[in-house]
Amino acid sequence: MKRPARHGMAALLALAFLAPATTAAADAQQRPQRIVSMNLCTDELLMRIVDPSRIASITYLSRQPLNAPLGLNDTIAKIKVNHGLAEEVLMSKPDLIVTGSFSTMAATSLLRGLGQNIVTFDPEADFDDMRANIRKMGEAVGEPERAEQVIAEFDARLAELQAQLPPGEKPVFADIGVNNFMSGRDTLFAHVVNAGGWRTLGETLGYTGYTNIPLEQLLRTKPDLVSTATPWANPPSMSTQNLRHPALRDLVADTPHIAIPERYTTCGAPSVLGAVELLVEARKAHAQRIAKQ
Amino acid sequence: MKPIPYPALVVALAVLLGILTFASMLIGPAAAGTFELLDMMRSGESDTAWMIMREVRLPRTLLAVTVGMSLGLSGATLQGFLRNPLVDPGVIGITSAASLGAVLALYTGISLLFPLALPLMGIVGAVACVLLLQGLAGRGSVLTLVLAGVAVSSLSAALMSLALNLSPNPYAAAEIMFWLLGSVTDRSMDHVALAVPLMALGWAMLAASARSLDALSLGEEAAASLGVDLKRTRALVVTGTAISVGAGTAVIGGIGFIGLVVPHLLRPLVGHTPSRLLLASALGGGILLVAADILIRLLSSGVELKLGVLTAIIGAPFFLWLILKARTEFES
Repeated sequence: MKRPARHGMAALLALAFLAPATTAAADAQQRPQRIVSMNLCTDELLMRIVDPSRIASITYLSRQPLNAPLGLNDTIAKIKVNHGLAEEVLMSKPDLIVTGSFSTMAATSLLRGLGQNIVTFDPEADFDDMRANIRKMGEAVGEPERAEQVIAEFDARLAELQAQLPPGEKPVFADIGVNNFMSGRDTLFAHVVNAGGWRTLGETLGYTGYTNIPLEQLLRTKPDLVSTATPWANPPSMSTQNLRHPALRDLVADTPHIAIPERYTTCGAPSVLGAVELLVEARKAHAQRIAKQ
Repeated sequence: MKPIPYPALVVALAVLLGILTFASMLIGPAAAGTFELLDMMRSGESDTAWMIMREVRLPRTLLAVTVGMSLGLSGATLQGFLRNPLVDPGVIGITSAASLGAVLALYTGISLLFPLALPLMGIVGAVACVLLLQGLAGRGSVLTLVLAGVAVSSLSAALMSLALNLSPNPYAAAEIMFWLLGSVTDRSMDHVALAVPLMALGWAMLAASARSLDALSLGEEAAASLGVDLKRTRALVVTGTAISVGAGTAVIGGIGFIGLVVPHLLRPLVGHTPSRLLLASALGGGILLVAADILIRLLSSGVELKLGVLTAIIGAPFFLWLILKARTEFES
């Protein structure tokens, strides 16, 4: 009687050890292994969550230094790029396509019509949207735990940066963009600025969304910090001509300046930490200036 | 140039269109490898290769050919009907109205509801334009028609600017801008199924006006005395243009200059008979647009140029050259 019992135990033990292994293998088969991203912002979320070996291609935009997400250069170098053409994407035989809801719409609907597995992501307007999109990406690629880990890392770093913020009301930051476009309430940029210890001029003046603020109104305000859009010399753009206005030049010359690379604020993705870090440093410098006065 | 025999001209154009259509099926975008698909077919991955051929290249090619034909045909018809060589399908406002419909679909987010929402809204725009034109200018003279067209065109352009102006989301605004530039890239067979039957209906109406155009080249009164029903002819020309160009614009966006240039190119070859120009211009329009689309794929190794941009860049200087060359003819 002992023998069969022992045998049974062994079988049970074997089952207990084998079971996780077999389900893991099955999981790996079900998880997408040839993922294509057709949007700059889904590029970053994807690269932060899955191993580069499972990514068939990302957009050519992520390769451009102007757009490259924070701290992913080594990963980017390993992955092929696409230009958002349906033909290119189909040739790589993807098992999952991730893209933004406003990018390459013709290609997206064509690919969906052909029965491709497509998940679209709405642009993120704040950090909650970002966390939701990271979770959505985690679900789509079969890595929900990894997604939670990315969120936890983001939140930890954000808390670490915010702990350094000096006390007191948030000073005003004028983000003078192309054609005097500035960020008001409910924009991703304003959320990033708030997280870095500032409020945007647009918010202070009561604007919602991205608005071009009249030069006169801009000149009447006394911001504590300014940033101007990088004059696009290459490729040249008329849109930054406003920055050469003599009145604006004086304002910019008299106010402390910060340069936030656009690649930190284009997407609601962990790259925004690059911008938060710069803003926190600027806020600390601001507190020191006030203390001296 | 001496007129060449008409049947020979039509056959030559048809053969050229056939060759270019075939080439368009074989040539891939440079970013995906120009002849990569042919290699895939040989190397046993023919399922994917055939699928790409059938579902990506075929609709792209069919739309370039048929929209080009619509533009060439309606350009020739309108130039004949209005007896004005400076007219193109855009002049009666159809292109702008169809674009406005599509832009509104993008602006309001209707385009996200179901795949064909955008082109359907474009067609709604074109239909609204025809109703407006018939209401405004249904009984008036040819001049009223052109002026009404200009008004519709300006209003549509203004409303499109307004949509861009108010667009709360920079991504939606960018998408509107790119759509307006015109492109056949990555359109599907659904687009073909929606637009081609409508275009064919438009072609039939334009073709039905051919005989009246010949009579009209003698002047409106002379044509009326020959038994031409001017009202019927105008209805055929306006509605035919609206349906064919409107359906095309709704699917691929605004394409400039084909409708203007093609009739000019072919007029000396067919010997200045308006009705003969129609078929020739249809074939010529198809040839030019499909050739432009092939050129785009060969030229751009990264992001593709937009078709409408290329036709305007090549079309405008070419048109200028045509005018300079023919200046003596116009002046005499």
